Amino acid sequence: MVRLLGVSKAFQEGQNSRVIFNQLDGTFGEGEIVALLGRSGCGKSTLLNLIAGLDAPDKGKIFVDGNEITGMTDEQRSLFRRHAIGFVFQFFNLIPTLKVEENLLLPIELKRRIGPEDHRAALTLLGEVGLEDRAESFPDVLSGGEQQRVAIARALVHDPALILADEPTGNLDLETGRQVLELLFRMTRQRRRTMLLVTHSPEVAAVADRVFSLRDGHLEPRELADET
Amino acid sequence: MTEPATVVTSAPTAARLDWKLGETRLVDVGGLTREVKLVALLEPDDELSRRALDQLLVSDIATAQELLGRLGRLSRIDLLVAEGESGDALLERARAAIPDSAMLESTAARQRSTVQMTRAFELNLTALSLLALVVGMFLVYNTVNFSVLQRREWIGTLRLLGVGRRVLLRTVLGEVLLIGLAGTVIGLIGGTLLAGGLVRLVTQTINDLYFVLTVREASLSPWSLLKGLILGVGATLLASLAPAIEATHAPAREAVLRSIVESRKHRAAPRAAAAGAALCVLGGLLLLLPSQSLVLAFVSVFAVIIGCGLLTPLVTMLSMAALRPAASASFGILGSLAARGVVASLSRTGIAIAALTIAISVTVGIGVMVDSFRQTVVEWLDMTLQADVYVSPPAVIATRNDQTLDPVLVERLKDTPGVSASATVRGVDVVSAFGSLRLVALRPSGDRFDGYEFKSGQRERAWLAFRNEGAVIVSEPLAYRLDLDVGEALVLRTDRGDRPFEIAGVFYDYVSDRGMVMMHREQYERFWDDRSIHGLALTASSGVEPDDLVRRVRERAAGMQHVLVRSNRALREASLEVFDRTFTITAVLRLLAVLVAFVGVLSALMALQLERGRELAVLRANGMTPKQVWKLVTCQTGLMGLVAGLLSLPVGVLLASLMIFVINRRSFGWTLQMVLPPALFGQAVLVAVGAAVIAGLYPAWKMARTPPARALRRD
Repeated sequence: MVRLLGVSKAFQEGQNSRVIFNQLDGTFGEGEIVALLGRSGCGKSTLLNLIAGLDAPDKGKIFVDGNEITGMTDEQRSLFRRHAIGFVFQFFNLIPTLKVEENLLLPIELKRRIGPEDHRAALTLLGEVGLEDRAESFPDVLSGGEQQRVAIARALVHDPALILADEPTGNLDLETGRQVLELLFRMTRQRRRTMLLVTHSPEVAAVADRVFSLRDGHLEPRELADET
Repeated sequence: MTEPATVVTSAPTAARLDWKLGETRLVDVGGLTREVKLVALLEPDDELSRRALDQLLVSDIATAQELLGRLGRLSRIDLLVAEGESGDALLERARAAIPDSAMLESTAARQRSTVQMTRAFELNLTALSLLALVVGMFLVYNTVNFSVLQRREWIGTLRLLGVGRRVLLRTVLGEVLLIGLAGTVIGLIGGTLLAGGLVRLVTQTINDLYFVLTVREASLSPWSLLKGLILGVGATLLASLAPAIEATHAPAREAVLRSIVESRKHRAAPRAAAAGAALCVLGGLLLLLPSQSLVLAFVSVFAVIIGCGLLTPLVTMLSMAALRPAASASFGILGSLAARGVVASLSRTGIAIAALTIAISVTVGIGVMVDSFRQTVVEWLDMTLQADVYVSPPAVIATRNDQTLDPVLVERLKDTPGVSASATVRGVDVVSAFGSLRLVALRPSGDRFDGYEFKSGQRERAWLAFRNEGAVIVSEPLAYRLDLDVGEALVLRTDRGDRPFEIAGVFYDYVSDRGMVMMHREQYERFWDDRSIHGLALTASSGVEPDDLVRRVRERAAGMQHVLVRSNRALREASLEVFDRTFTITAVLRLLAVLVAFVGVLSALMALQLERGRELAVLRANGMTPKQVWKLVTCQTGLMGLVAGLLSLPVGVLLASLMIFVINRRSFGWTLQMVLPPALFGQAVLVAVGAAVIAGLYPAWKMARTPPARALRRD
C-alpha cells in the first residue's frame, strides 16, 4: 500500500541544515494499521506529509496504492489526495466557517457536486460517530472529543484507501482520547482500510497491527507486547 | 520704451519665445494683428520675480493703450501710500479726484477678491483630497489592526509576563508613528510628482473660468509640506489609536485568541451600524441649519461618508447571508466557503469593503453630479443658444471675453446676406456695494426674452421692465451669493455715479459661478460711455444653412479683424469642451480614491492569506487543488467587490444629492437637475468587482503556491 524508497528530507534552519530522514525505506501493507512512535521533532508528522504529498522529499520515491506520488505535480497530488487519502489531525482542523455536515462533505464537494445520497451517507456516518443531532452545528460549539469524531468521519466519508492520523488523541483528555481512538480503529478495520497513526504514546500504539519507531531518520520495528 | 510699439519682457520669456533684442514680432490683440519691438530684457532677481514676469509684456502706457484699443483709459493706478496722517490725507485727495466709475481699494482687498473668486473651487478640490485621506485612514486602521492581531500572541505573552498596558501601547504607537512618518514622506514625494501633472489641469480650469494664470511648475511651500506631514502622521495615529488600545488593553488571554477578536467584531457590527446611522442623521441635521456655509456642508458630507462606512460591516454580514445560497449554487462548497469566509474574517474584510464602498460611492456620487450638471448645461445651451452664428474676438478666458469687436466690422457683419436678425453683447466689470460685478449689456434680436428661463420673476413682466423701465435681470449664482431677489434694487457705479437698478427677474445661467447682471444695451449706453461690443449673434434667414452663413461671415470679416465665427453647434461643442475640461481634475482625484481602496483590498487579502494559511492547508490536505484555491479567493474577492459595488450605489446617490443640492448650491449657487444614469451604476459595480478581483490575484497566487505542509507544521 505504501512504499518508501531511499527517502531523504532536511530542513534549513538559518545557516544549518537539519536532516530528518536519510535514505529512509519502508513498506506498509494494505488493510494494515501501523503506528509510528518517536520523540517530538523526530519527523513523524513530516513523514505523513510526505506520504500525503503535502510536502516533497529531497530525494527518494514514495508509492501509495501503486502510484508514485513523488513524480506528480502539485495539482495531480491534490487530486490523488482527494480520492485516496483521509486525514485526522491532532488539532481537529475542522473549517470553522462550515457546519458539521458541510465539514463532513468537504472532501466530496471538492470532487464533485453533492446529491441527496451524499447527505444521507453523511448523516449515517455522523450516526456512526454518535453525532447525528449535530449536523447543523458549527465546530466551535462542539467539545474537543466531538470535533475529533467529526474529523474522523470526514477522513472516512470519501472512502479513501489510506488514512493518515497525526496524534489524533494528543489534544484530548485520557478518557475522551480512548473513546476516539476506539472509534477510529473500529471504523478503519470495519472498512478494511490502511492507517498510519503517529503517536508518542506506546499505549495508543499497542493497538496497532505493527509499530515502528522513528529514530535518527530510520524506521525501526518495535515489539510493544514485550515492552508492556 | 518711449518710442511707439516697443515692449520689454523678462529674459526667460524672451529665451523661450526665441525673441532677440531689437527684433520685431507680430502679436494678436483681440483678433487684431499688431507689430511690437523688443527693446529691453528684464533680468529677474529672484524666483518670485521670475514667476511674476513670466509671459508678461511690459510697455509704456501710451503703447499699451494703442495696442489694446483703449485710448485715454487706464485700468488701474497703483499707489504707494505712507502710513499715518499724511497717507490718509493723500487717500482722501485721491478718493475725491477719481471719476465716479472708479474705486479706491487696498491691495489686501483686491487680493481677497481674487482669492474669494476661486475659494469654492479650491475648497472643492481640498474636500476631494481629504476624501482620499479618509479612505486612507480606513486602510491605516485595517493595517494597524492586522499588525497588532498578527502579534497578539506576542502581546498576550508580554502581558502574561507582566508588561504594562501603557508600555505596550507606547510601543505599538511608536511603531505606527515610524510607519506613518515613512508613509507620509513617500506620500509627499509622490504628491510633489503628481502636483507637476495636476498643476496644468488646475491652471487650465482657472484660466477657463476665472482669470488668466501662468503656472508652469508646481511650487511647494514648506508650509504645504508641513501641513501634509501633520495630516499624514496625524491621520495615521488617529486611525491606529482604536485598534492599538483594543489590542493592548484586552485581558492577557484574550489577546492571544483570534476567535475572540472576530466574535467581538461580530457583536460590535450592529453597534457600529447604529453609530453610523446616527452619524448620517447628524449629517442630515447639519444641513437643516439656516446657513450657506460650505465648510458645514462638507462636514455633513464627511459625516454621511463615515456613517455609511460604519454601516458596512453589518450590511456585509447580512449581504453574505443573502448571497451565500446563490454563491453555493454557483460554485458549490467554494462559494459557501467564500461567503462564510468574508463574514468569519469581518475584522479584515469589513474595513476593506468599507474603504472600497466609500471610494466607489464617491465615484458614483461625483459621476452622477457631473452627469447631472452636464445634462443641465446641455439643456440650458439648447435653450439659450437661439442664434445660428456667433462672432467674438479670441478670448484668453473661455467664459469671459474682455476683447472687443471692431464697430465697423459689427455693422458689416450684420448686413451679411442671409442674416435675418442680430443681437449684441458687451461684458464689463462694474463696481457695486458688493464689490466688482460682471455686467452684460444685451441688445436682443427679438422683442422678448428668448432663451432665458426664469427662476424668479415673471417673463413678460420682466421683459417690459428690462426693455422700457431700465430694470436689470440677474443670474441665479449672483442672486444666491448676494441674496438678491425680484423687486430689490441693485446699486451699480456708472459713469454718471451710483445708480439703483430694479431687479426684474432671476434667470438660470451656467456661464460663470460669479454670476452676472444683465441690462438692456440702451440703458447701458445711457449710463456708461462705452460703445464697444464683444459678441455678435446672427440669426439666419429661412432657407439659409448656418454653415453657409458661417462661411459668408468669415469671408466678410477677412482682412479686418481676426474673429471667431462659430455655428450654434460649434459653440455648443466648445462650451461642453470647457465643461469637460473643468472636471478632468475631478476624474483624476476619483481615480486616486479608487486606487487607495484597491490597495486596501489588496492588503486585507494579504492579511487573510497569512491568517488563513492553516485553514487552506487543511483544505489542501483534503484534496483542494491549487486551481480551487484560486477559485476560492476569486469568489471571495468577487463577493467583497459585489457587496461594495452594490452598497456604493445608494451611498453614491446620497452623496450625489448632497453635492448637487447642497455643495454645488453653496459653492456656485446653481440649480441642477439630478440625472441617474444606469450605465454609471453598472460601471460602478463592475469597477468594484474588478478592483477587488484584481487585488486578489497576488494573494491567490501566494496562497496557491504556499506548500500546505509548512502551514500544518506551524501547529
